[in-house]
Amino acid sequence: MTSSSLTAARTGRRRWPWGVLLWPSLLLLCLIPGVLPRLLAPLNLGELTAFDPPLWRLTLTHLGLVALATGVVLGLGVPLAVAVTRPGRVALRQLAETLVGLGQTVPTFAILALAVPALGFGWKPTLLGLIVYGLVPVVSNGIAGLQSVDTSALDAARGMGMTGRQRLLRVELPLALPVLLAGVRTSTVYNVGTATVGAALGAGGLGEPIINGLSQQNTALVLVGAVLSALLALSLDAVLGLFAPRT
Amino acid sequence: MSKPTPTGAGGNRPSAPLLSVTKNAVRGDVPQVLVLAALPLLAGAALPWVLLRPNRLAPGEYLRLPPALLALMLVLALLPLLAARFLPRLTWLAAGLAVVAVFWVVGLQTRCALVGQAEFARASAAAGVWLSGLGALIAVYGAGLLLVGRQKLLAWAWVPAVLALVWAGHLSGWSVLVEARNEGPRWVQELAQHLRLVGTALGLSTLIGVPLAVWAAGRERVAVAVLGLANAIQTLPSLALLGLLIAPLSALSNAFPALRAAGISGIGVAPALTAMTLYALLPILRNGVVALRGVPAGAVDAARGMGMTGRQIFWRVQVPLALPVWLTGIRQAAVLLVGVASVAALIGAGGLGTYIFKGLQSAAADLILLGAVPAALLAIGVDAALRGLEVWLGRRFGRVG
Amino acid sequence: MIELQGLEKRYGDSFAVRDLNLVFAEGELTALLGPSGCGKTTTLRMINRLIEPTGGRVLLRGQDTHTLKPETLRRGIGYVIQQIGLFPHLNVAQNVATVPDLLGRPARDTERRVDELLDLVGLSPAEYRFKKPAELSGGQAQRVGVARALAADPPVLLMDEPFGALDPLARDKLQDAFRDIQRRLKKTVIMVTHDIDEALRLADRIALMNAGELAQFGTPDDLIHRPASDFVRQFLGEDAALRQLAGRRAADFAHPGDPAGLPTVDAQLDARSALGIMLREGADALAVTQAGESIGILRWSDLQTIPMQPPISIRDEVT
Repeated sequence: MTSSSLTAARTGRRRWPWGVLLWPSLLLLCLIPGVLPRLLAPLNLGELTAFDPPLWRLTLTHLGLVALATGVVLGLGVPLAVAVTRPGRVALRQLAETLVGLGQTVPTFAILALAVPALGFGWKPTLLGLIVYGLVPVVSNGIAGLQSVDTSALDAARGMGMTGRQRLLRVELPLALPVLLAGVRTSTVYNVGTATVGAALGAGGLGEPIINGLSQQNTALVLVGAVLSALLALSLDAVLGLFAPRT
Repeated sequence: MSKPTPTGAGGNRPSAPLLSVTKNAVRGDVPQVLVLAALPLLAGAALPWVLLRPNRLAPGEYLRLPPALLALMLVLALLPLLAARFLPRLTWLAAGLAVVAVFWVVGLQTRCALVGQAEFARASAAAGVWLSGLGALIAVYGAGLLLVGRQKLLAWAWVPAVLALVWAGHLSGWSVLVEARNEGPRWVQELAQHLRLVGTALGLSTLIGVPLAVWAAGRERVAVAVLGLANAIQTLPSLALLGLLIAPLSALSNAFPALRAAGISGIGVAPALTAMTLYALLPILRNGVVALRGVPAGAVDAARGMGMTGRQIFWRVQVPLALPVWLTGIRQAAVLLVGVASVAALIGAGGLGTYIFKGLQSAAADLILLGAVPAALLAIGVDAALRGLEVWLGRRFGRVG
Repeated sequence: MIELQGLEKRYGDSFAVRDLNLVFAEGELTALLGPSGCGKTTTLRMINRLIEPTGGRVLLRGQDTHTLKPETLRRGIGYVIQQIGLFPHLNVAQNVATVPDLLGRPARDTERRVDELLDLVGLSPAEYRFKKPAELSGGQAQRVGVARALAADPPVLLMDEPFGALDPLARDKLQDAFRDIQRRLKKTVIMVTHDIDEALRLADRIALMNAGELAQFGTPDDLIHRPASDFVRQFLGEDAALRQLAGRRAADFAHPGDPAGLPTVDAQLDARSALGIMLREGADALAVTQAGESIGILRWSDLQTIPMQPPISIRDEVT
């Protein structure tokens, strides 16, 4: 964490963080029909015809995919992290950590492509890829957060007569929450990037102009997709940063 | 009078540091992993194993296992669990057998299916194979946890066995390998191209990134700016970044036709390499700056106090201390590059991505597998190799990872 | 109140605790004393079943604790540990209110109770109620730990080296504060410690353990003057009697008498230092003064008798 964000956290807790609005407003500006083509025209990189489907639609598709994936990831990842951090399940935790490590290593594009034979073309394999890939930071941060809970606090909780469930809900999860939320933030932001690759599988979204542009050698088209998906990633990062600090 | 019943590892939670967890207590939960492995193995045995199609694009019919093989797979699904219970020292063998059996049965079933079919008929693996394979690999992982030290190698005993199966031609009926045989030399070329792309981009970015990091680390403002920029760029989608990096090149070649004649354009190996080099520069630069700035000031101060020159301090103190973190950055860059290189096929740079895109375009699952599986294995291999290098170098410099 | 009958804990072939028979009397503070690894913490944790015994039983008011649900048992027993274990995400009041909440007590009653308890442990409720554990010093945090253990008014309090992690000054103050609290509340306290001074200072009775077995059980006087074995003598050390004096105030030993011409000592001074002054001044007796007024004299022979109930109790500053 940089020193500037530390001081921001110290001084600006009550103040409304206006900086958060910078990226979303830039994104909205670029989505106004005609704005991006006019901005890119002087670069003379290629022809931009009317977009079909329109850019805002691609953006919404993209956002929808990412949001859906994040929802599923939360529903799967948190119980998973909880399940493998229960006492007496060291081997399962090791397995989960190994799988998470593999998920970080295996190329996103390979994961997405491998889902196609099973699910066919379109948004389905992309969603599966987003879920698999999105689980990685949520599970790993969830495990890290739950593992880092002070053992003496847990011992005290047990000594006071809390049941396993009460310890989880009253002590472990609240204490692991910041790290867990940071994982959700990472997961969501990375998935904006993964979803662009999904365009190669016909998922639509902002990867579509990039893929089309690359294969048609129309750099202007590439730039349209690149700028918009970058702005979307930065916007989500900024908004989620309100809830979760960066790890 | 009621006597307290002795409780096992399950009932007694070793929560406080007061109780040292013995090795036995940890390994007692390996059966949980083996149960988790048995579930997909059991389900997989019941699902179809082979998809038989008259040619590689036509729809086909799903074939299940005959009763004898079904029984075999069901027994093998439970064998690791039984081994862990009664013969823990041989669990690795039971799990390894399950993996080998999956490959053996695939080979057997695909070949049986193709008997009496036309030349273009394809027999590919169906859901049962993938599920069983997943379960068998989890079982191997669980069995590996029971082994210690050099014995861990036994958990990999299935690899030579499977390779032998492939070598002996037992799997020759499997559509992926049919495809691979057809592609043959071309596939090897693409693999080599993939490695060349990754290797060149990694080499270039290391050559540029290392001196740059040394330069930046010594300057407070530059270092902060580099780290801030690196963090921001990390949030950007990699495909978008690739696109953004290609744009200037393509603009250049548009503006100066001479450059285009020299081979610099928005398509082909050159832009892919440029974009990949810039992309890999990021983790190398960031980790280099973090690593060099993370060298304890006390160590540098002590070195100066002992009369080392600036050069000696750099080589004898800063570099050895910064190396592990730096190498981590290079490893991250290499793994990222394997992934990016597979997308680079889109702009005609070649590599394993070629097969993925070809497969996606023609809806040929086997071609996708031919590109995606090696790319995934390559990433895992590169990661493991560089991790090994880190450990080795760490040991040489007398430090622990 | 609490009775251990043939209590045993075995890990594989080795015994952590072996055939332990003890009775902890109601309203008394018993120290489980012994070198590290002697099984004292295991014994304590078997009482609230944080560790399940492998043999024998624990009776709480005649009832076998094994017949209760562990959670129900623990909610009725206060628990204080060396690492304190406050919940970092909850404020002081919420921490103290944990067990009453678990027991489903009405929030209004609990709120009042929290304030009472903070007062009791010497923390002003208005100032400390909403602080987070991270804002407290070690001594303050353990005061909250004690308040939290007392919140549901349990008759029994288990303490595992409660003052072991504090710096010496904070430890002294907290020990004094706790002695006052105990004198007022008369809980049945079982305190694990490896600190002989602490045991001599606070305990009504000491159970000295060695290698999982009971070496001696008795009052501090018994252990010092009538050690049951060489181990007991060696463990307490040759200066055990002096250590015992160190835990008492000069005022505790004072008797009425004529202070004229005697060297003076302050009532708050510990008895060992008072003895040191006698040796230095070559005097047989000292005049004990409080705020300049003489409150009695302290003779050499007085120091040989240990007072059961020190007459003066002093409220402490918060550390």
